[in-house]
Amino acid sequence: MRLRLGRAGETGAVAAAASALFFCGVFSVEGTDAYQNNIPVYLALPLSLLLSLMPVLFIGLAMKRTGESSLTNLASFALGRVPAAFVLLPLCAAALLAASEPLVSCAQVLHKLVYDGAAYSAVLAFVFPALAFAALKGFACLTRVQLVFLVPLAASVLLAVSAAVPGFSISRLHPFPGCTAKVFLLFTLRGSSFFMPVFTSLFICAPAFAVGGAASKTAVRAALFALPAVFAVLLAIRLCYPSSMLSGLAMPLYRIGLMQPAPGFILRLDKLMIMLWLTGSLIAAALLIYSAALMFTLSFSMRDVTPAVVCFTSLTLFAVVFAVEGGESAAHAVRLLFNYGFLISAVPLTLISAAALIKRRSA
Amino acid sequence: MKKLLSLLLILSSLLLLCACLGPVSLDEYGYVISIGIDPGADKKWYFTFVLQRELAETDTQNEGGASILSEQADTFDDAVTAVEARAPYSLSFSRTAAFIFGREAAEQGAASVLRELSFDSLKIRASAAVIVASGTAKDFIGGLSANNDSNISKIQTAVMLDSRKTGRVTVMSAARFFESCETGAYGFCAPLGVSDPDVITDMSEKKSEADGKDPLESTAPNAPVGGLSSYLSGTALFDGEYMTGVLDREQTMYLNLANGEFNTGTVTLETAEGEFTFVVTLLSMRRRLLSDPPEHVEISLSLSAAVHKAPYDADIALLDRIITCDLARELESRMLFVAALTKKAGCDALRMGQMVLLNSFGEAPIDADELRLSALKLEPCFSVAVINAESGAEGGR
Repeated sequence: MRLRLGRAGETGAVAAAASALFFCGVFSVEGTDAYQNNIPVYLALPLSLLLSLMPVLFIGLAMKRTGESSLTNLASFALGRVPAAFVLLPLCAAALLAASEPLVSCAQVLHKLVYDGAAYSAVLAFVFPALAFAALKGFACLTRVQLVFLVPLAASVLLAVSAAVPGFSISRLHPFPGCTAKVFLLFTLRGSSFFMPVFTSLFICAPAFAVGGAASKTAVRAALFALPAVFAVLLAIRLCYPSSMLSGLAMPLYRIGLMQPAPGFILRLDKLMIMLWLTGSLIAAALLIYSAALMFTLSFSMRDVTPAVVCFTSLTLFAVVFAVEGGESAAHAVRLLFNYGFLISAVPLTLISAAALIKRRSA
Repeated sequence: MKKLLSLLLILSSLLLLCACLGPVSLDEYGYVISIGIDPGADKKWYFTFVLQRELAETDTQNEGGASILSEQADTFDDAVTAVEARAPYSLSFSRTAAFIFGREAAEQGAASVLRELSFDSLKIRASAAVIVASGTAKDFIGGLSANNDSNISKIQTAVMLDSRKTGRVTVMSAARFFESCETGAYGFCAPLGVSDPDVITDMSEKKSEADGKDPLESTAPNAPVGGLSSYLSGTALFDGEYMTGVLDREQTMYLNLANGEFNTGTVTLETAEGEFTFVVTLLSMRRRLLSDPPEHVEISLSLSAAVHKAPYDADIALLDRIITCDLARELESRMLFVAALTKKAGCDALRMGQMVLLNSFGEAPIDADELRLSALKLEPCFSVAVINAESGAEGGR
């Protein structure tokens, strides 16, 4: 068996999951109509993060009660081997979609603002080997790498936000809340699709933890770290730009400091920062791709995770190319996926955990 | 460990990605650092592009400096196309730091050119400053590059920073211009540039000295000597896309003070006891919308003042009285005067629109024109408290 799980430390896993939650949350908003509809995203997405924790904790509870070591085993226990494989397929798709979202933002910025006219395919051709290589290294290695990268990533985000502080204005939050409660709650519910796959990946890779039940603890700790970071960055973006200017702006975090003339070196650091954020997004995407590949490999009783990783990496990058170059049909597909994407994760997770708990009780 | 190191290595190599895709030699680009816009004679606008001249490593004779390209055109794109046809390189706007409008062009609404530009496709940073030249943009640019300094961007930055130290210049970016036009939350204020042809620049001094001549030989007796012949001296007020008024350097200081965007500066006060000059520092600023009287905004400022110059016989008690009473009231009246000037220009330079927004938080979005009108209806009333920085005596209403 070449599953490349390894032995992961809890600190590394928390760092990897928290970074993935941050990048999936902050860089995935642009594709939505959030700013156009005046939705206070800085409140909605942290709430989405908490909401997405619910079905995942339900899975954790089911795993604890049944004594199963991973989500794949739990699904097999609850539904039987063959039905479980088909129920887990939507979770693979959700993980790949979540992996592609931060990469879409990075690709757009690299294409539009960094390289002079470089095609998306050329940009992504550089990304593919690193992404595939990272995903092939497996869960434990990825968590350690993310732990190392956490300091420069956090420093770069802090630097970008602190450089923008003189340009903050509370009046830009007007109108508040800006939308009806129904629109806000619906966005919050839909936003959980950005985060659920990250939490799910921890339960798929649960055997990598030395202690049983560590996946639930890691998920909660990662959420506790990511939640204030997502809130602070999204709030900072709104304090810098009125919502009318944010709709259609690719990666607002990249341009957070552009409101006031900023002489000096900070302005020139933006290119370096985008490369760091690309690296962070890439590790987050690799984690999601690896977990999807592992789930697929175990569900279909394969012995090696490599073919699935390579295949899923290609699929993710195809999804990125489609999202950025697909025109109107891609925009329609992205909107459709955002509107119903949370169901792709929430339904199988709830089904598996409910079935497992019922089966356990009846047994 | 081996795995980890190899993965770190490959991920770190992504940082080098910026040099790999579509590499272009520096010689193939002309880096535009400023764009000037004046009214054209045959076409709508006259565009001036200031380019940073790149030096080859082996070139020891030239000092670098600026080269200027200009073109008449109806649109910015037409101007770029025409200039690129003449120049042996393509223009790159990734280092553009300033848009400079001639006063006449600004009054004709040339700033609308900014809204027609695609900042993303041209890779212009929206943080580029917007400057209005009191004469033409071309003259102002000429004065900025007259010293043939090797780094023009540095000069631009230095001009801004030096002026900001005195509190007598307000600096706003192109992004702020967009926000001002789109939301009406505040009136746009651009620094006003002046080009003084009488200034004997550093370069002309150097040239005369090199020729064995006295650089001051043929100049007017009181001509200013040294530095640049273009500098910032005041504020241009905008109503939407149109420039509608100006403030001088001192008035700009009171505008900055009223907006809380002031660090430190000097204020001179004429009293019955003589002339006093104080170094004033802003400690805190607070704004609130008053219900009584209605449509009034109270702007409370807390300042400290240190004596810079005073009559020799002024004692501490007199200084305390002058600082805590006379100076405070004088600052209030000067700020009120500036507020009246900005209102007359139809510019919400005191950012009353932001107060309107803050006080209608739970309400529906407000249209930009409606917000602008509501903001101009608000009357500011100032309440200044000044502390004598030396004796600690406090005053105020």
